[in-house]
Amino acid sequence: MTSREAGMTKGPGERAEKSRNNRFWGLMAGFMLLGGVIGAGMVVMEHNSGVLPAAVAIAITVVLTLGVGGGTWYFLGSVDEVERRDNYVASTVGLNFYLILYANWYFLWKGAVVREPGHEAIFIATMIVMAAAYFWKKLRP
Amino acid sequence: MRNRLKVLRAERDWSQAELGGRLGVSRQAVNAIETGKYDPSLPLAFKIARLFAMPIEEIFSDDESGGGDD
Repeated sequence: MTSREAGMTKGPGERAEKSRNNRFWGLMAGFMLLGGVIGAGMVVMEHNSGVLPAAVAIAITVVLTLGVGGGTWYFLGSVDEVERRDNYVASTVGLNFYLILYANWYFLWKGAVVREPGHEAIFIATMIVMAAAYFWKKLRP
Repeated sequence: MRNRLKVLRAERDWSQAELGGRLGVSRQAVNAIETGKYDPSLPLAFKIARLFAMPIEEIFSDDESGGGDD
């Protein structure tokens, strides 16, 4: 906010915007918490020589399905159209990246050119590309 | 698409956050519209027009219609 903006009228709009902003960051914190749950699950798996206890695996799938499904539904319903546009663009870029990377790797594997597709590597790479697309759309000058 | 949002907002001494709150969008969305990085949807454009009590075409203008040679 510029010094000129700081001196401008603070009315009901500012309060509504502050409340909307708090909701947005609350949702972001929820998604980050979900990321932490996934990370914790992977740490547990590593400590069990790559095997995840069945109860932990089921708990993660329940939390993931409800968290990502419900969270995304609520998120897209509560953010404005610019934020929705940025998310749609990032999702499309991420999906295309995933389709190209996984399909190519799969067929090269079937042709005995490369090793079997690395699931974790593809997942993490897709998340990174999607985040990069989101921030490029949101922060570019 | 060009617009007069920044001028209209300044005339009322509103910050971007104030205008965003009145429109139900974020401060960043107002900034994106003002700087021409984002063209608002038709419903949002109508909302802006209602807020400023002006016809849409007095707030938004097509790039191609601004030159005066068509």
